Amino acid sequence: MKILAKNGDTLEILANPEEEILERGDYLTIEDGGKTLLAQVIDIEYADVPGVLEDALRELSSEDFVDSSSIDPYSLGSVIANIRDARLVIAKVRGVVMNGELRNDVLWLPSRFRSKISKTPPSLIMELSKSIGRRNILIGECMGGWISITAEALDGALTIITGKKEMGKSHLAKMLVVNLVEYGAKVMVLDINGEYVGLSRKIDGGESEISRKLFILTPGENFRVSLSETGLRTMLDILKYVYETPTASLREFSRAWYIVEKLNGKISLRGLVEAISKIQMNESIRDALLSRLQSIESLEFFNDSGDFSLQEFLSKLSYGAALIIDLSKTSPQGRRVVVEYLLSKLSSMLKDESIPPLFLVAEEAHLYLRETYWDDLVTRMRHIGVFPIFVTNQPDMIPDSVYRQADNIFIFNFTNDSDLDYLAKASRVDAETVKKIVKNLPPRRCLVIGKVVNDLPIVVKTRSLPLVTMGETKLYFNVEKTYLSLRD
Amino acid sequence: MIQSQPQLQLVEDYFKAFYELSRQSLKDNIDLKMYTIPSEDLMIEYLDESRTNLTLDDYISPSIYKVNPIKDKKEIVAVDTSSIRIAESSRGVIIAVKGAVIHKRTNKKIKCTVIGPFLFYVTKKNFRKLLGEHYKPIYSRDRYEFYRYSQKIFAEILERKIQKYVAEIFKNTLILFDGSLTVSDRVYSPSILEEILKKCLENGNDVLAFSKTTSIDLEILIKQLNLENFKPPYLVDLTHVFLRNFSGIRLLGRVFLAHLTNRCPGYRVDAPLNVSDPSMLVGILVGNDPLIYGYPETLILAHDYSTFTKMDVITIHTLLRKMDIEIVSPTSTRDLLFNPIDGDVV
Ligand SMILES: Nc1ncnc2c1ncn2[C@@H]1O[C@H](COP(=O)(O)OP(=O)(O)OP(=O)(O)O)[C@@H](O)[C@H]1O
Ligand SMILES: [Mg+2]
Repeated sequence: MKILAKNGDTLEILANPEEEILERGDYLTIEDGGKTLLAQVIDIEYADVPGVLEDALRELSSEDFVDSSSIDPYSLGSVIANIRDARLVIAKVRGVVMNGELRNDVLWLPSRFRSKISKTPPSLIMELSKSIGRRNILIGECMGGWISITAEALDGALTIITGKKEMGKSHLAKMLVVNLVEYGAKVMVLDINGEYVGLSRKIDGGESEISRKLFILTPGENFRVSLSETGLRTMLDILKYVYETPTASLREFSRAWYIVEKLNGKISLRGLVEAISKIQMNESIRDALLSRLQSIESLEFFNDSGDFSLQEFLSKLSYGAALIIDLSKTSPQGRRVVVEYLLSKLSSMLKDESIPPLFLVAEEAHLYLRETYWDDLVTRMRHIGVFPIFVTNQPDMIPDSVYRQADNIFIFNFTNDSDLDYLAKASRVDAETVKKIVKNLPPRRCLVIGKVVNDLPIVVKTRSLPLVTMGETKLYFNVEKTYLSLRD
Repeated sequence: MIQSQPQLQLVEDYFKAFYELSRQSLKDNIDLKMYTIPSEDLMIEYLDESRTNLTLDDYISPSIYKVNPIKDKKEIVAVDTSSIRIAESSRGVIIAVKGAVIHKRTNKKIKCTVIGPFLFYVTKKNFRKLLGEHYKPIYSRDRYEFYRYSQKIFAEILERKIQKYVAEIFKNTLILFDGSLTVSDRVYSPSILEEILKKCLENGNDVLAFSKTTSIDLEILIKQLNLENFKPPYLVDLTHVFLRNFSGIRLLGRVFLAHLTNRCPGYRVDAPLNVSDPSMLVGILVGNDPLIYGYPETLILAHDYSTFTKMDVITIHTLLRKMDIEIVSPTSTRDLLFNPIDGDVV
């Protein structure tokens, strides 16, 4: 390989087709005089070799009927084939390796003629992409070497996993969940497809190591809460954001809430309905509130006699646990109600430090997260201890402000140009890298950007998990048993 | 008779000595720094003579033969070669020569054999040794002329070798050569062409030689000979005209103007002296080989396959670099190299 040209931070490298096979995302080390430049392959094209068109045309015009052979004393034929097939490798300079560190503040260009270009050994990639921490999470391979990230790099961070459908996003998210739990973290998963329940099972059907640390809460089934546990603030948010209740009505609702509390000593859905039917208020407000309460009641998420306490539940969880909120059986509106409940609860519990920080894996969050929560989650809530991992196949449903704050992004394949444009604009590496690499990623491979890889973008082939990573409804009863045993 | 295809190994053996000569020359104290030839100088030269201007004799009117396409199946074999100067220095030049044999069977299947390229490093010192028995002293005004002459000679050597090879190996075919059946004292070893034609005769091969570059001024000729009423294809026998116009040459065949398709130029076509009915021979050709711009397809293919492409040149440069020869593009150094007039005889 030879350097042909440099434009900005893009190198054009001429490569012989017989040289090692390169893939987009691979790293090249360019060595010259003891120094090493690191560059990442973002594209491979045919080199513009003079005369190729002429040759190709000549051959095309006669290939159908001419059978040719040659007496080629200097074996030029094979050399010609190689030259004609020369490749142009487009690579982005990532920095100069100095004392085992990647520096992008050093200005140095290797010689075009003397420098030796080769595939970067996996050990160097591993070394350079290593983030701080010692809790390793083996996520897959890169250029034939293993790639581990650390739990510490996810800790306190905002992580986004995105990519087209079926590319392996949830698989990766599950891998992170399992490892985080094993390292003692608490993880809450908003599981919209009911697919995380499988993590309790090994592929061979046996119980997995983390099955005892996996708790499934299904709203309306084993997850029902009382209004007093929920509190007025949260109920007002639910009415306001999920049911679009006007302010005047919310005021009347608060009034009714206080009346019920005063009269009954305890708040209940029944009591609220009764109070709102009886106390004096504008008829249209009364109708509006009653119909909304009816709808809330029908979700069967709120339970007057229930004694479930999220706080109690969370504080009972020992070292390392995953709390899976199975939203797959819940209506779209119900999901939003449940999430309002969860987030407002988490927020207040974390603020008064009654529970330790936790990771929040949110699959397709745009389906249930109200708009105002995005910024809240990535700023205020992150400070008090909710570390979001957003998983989505619709990247443009996540506001770009969230991307800008993201510490880690795992991008699987996208073919849609508008998705690519959006991501390219929002993420921390150059647009060309994102577009060229991501567009051509095969399934189960992702471009990893950010803290987890020490800001060295790498393409990782995610490893498989010995667990059932697909949602399987059959497992439901098993899992419920697990939860019940916890309550005993 | 069913013509079996000559084995590749056979071809290889045939050109072994030529290759050996080529290899030897590259070992000959070669300059380690040589210059590429500027593209405007890269004229690929063929063996043909330059453009011919004939003066017709008013008293002799040439015979005109009508050509009737003959559908009798005949295998056609076409030979062409080309040469190029690859690099030069003040001491010597590297020449590459390459040839192609196109063999079209009666079932229209075409087999192409490319022979070469062979590379030669030629200096005034080794020139004589390389040519051996074919050596003839030449005068050149400067190195540049000497290099061009060397290129011509080595191209001719390969061309004759390939022609001799097909004459020996094929039987009962119609062989098409590029060029003419003329020999002059200027070219090397005129007797070789005679041998080739003899071999053809022995093996039942007919021969026609087509000239690409000798374009006879058809318009003038048509006017002078009142050919307007003739519909192609036809042949005009110009042998006498040639004999009258050129003194230093020897014709080993008869010279014709072949006007084979309408609206296409005529070409000079030579047929051996022993051919009694040249119009029949051309008729067989026309019946077996499609004409492209009035020129046989097999010869066009032979030309295409023997011509050096840009890629060939790049590749040969690569090869030379592997032999530790530095190949650089000339800038003004070229003037330095060739300006001194150092005409001498080698
Ligand atoms: N590294 C891997 N090894 C083995 N199987 C994998 C791997 N990555 C993904 N899979 C499998 O590929 C399929 C699709 O993966 P996954 O469900 O994670 O895709 P997704 O990107 O989340 O898709 P969707 O957008 O539809 O949710 C699943 O069956 C999953 O088990
Ligand atoms: Mg998924």
